[in-house]
Amino acid sequence: MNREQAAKQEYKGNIRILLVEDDKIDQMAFKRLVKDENLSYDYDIAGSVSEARKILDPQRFDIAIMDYSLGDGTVFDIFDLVKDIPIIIVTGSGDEGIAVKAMKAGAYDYLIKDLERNYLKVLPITVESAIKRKKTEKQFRMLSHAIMSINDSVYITDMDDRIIFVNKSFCKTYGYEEENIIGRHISVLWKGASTNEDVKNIISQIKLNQKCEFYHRRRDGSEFPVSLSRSVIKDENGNEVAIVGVASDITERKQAEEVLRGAYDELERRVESRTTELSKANALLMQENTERKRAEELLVRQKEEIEKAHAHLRETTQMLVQAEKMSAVGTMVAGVSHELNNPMMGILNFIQYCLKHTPPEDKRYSILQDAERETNRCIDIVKNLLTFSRMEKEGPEARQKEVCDAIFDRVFKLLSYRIEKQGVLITRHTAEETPATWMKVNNIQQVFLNLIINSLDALKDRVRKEIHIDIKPDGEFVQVTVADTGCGISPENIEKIFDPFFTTKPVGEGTGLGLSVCRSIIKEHGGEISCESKPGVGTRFRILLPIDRRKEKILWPISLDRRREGRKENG
Amino acid sequence: MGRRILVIDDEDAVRKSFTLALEDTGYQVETAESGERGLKKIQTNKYDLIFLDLKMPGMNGVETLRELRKIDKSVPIYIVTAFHKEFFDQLKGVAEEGIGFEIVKKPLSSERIVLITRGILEGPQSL
Repeated sequence: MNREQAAKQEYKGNIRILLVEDDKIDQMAFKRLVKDENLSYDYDIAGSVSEARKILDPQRFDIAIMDYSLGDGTVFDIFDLVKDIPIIIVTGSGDEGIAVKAMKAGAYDYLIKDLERNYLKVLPITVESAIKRKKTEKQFRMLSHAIMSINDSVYITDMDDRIIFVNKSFCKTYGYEEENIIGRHISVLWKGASTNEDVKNIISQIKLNQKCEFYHRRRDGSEFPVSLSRSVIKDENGNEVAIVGVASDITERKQAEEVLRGAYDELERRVESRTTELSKANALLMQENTERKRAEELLVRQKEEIEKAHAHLRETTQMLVQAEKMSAVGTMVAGVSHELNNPMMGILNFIQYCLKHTPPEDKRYSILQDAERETNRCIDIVKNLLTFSRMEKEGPEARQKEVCDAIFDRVFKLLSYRIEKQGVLITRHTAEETPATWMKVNNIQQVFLNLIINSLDALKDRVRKEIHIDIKPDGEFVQVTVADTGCGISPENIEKIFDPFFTTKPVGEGTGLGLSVCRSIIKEHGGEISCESKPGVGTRFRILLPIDRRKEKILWPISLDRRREGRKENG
Repeated sequence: MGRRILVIDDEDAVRKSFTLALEDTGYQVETAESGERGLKKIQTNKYDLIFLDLKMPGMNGVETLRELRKIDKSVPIYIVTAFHKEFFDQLKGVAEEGIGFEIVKKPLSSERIVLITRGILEGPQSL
């Protein structure tokens, strides 16, 4: 059985009564009453003080009903023993003074005996009332104790806001002795409330049964924060009789909150300062961003330029590849052409032998003539292919003394068909005293041929189609000028014309190597080549060739004519 | 009469060209298809003119030229070539050593063959 059940048992079960009565008749009357009224009493009867002592020692009762005068003493002799249970004193009529005394000593009630024993009729009610009161008292004590001992400060005011109760915690917290504060107006607790009205205004803000925070004032005038709740106490009829206030000192919490708020403020301040920093950084970043954008734009432009350069490089590479290809083709053509020479020599001689042994009236004679002509044509084609091929150019061509005029003769002969077809007027002036110069004839011929071909290209769509060659001595040099009335070269291009792979001609028509090769040839000869041009007017190339620069011994070719001349001279 | 001409060339067409072109000239044309065979011939016979190819398998024209000159220092030797550049430096060296030779360019027509031959053997000719 736990404590709660025990408590229930205590009140729900029969009431345990100790009757202390020395009068046997009264004892019997009590017994009869219990029986007749069917009262749920368990009782013990003691007939004397000593008996009562014996019974009380081991047993506990809910209530004691005791006759005042007992054979071996009075009720006061056992008062101490039954102190914690309600006592009802029964006295004889005329002993009211004793009743008062007993009540003062702690008795709960008293009954006056009468002859008819009518007092027994009120006994049950009295008992019940006493037990109820005792229970209430006990409860009150418990509650008081609870209220007194809790850490919150509890105070109770009447409806006029006078303090009628405070607990221990209150006294401790507010610095009052109980007697100093009881009866005082509640306003003494309120900070900044000098009048009762002020307090009423403040208190009216507090909703019942809700916690609010205020500043309360201690006895020494210092203030402190409290969390306050109020509730109204009503009597059994529902009338408001008192107000309970429960205040808890929240100083520490407030301090903690202060600290927290401080920390929060600090945090906020830091956040703000950091935000400012960030804003600044952001502004800086924006600025940097702008700069970066600018840089990016610059990069884009540079990239475009690089791409352009790259495209140009690609183009150049293509040209280089093309040039390589052409060079390879040239090498192959040269090789093939050389190999063709032997069989062609055979064919030519075979035909010529047949011709020699065929009478002209034979109808095969003219056919053989056709064959001879066509074979010669083949031989010419091969010869032309070889003339400007690399094989020929890289030959052990020694320098020999030659006049530029002679080279131009050959060049114009080579280009005669084209010159005639284009209707170009060629004029040439050679100063009489112009000497022959030491040169690699084929190379110089290639230079002149290149210049004339360029001029012919430039004259294609011109109305006035003229090329003028001027050859004259100039100190230690011979100066050769090739001027045309062609379309001219734009200023931005004229810088580049001697660069390898620079060409303005359609793909397949120019390798962009012509003028760069010309320059290398002229340089190799110790000479100079330069160009001036006016778009829409014409172009003039000027070449200076040193007259007396001879690097290599003449070896090639020894001409048949000279040999023959030698023989003639010899005899 | 009875002048002897030697043609050294690995190409049958070339050898035949010389033979046919000079058929009715009264000159005696002999041919050799390699430098080695040419040298053998010159060891046993005396020639008045030699046509020599440059590019041949085995002994090439330049080597043959040197050997020929060891045997006969005066016979006119015409190098008949289609200009193969790999021999140019060697030829240059040979010329610098004072070894005499002439060069003609392939292809040669019957006319030119006869002209050159007569020019060498009988003095300048007019076309």
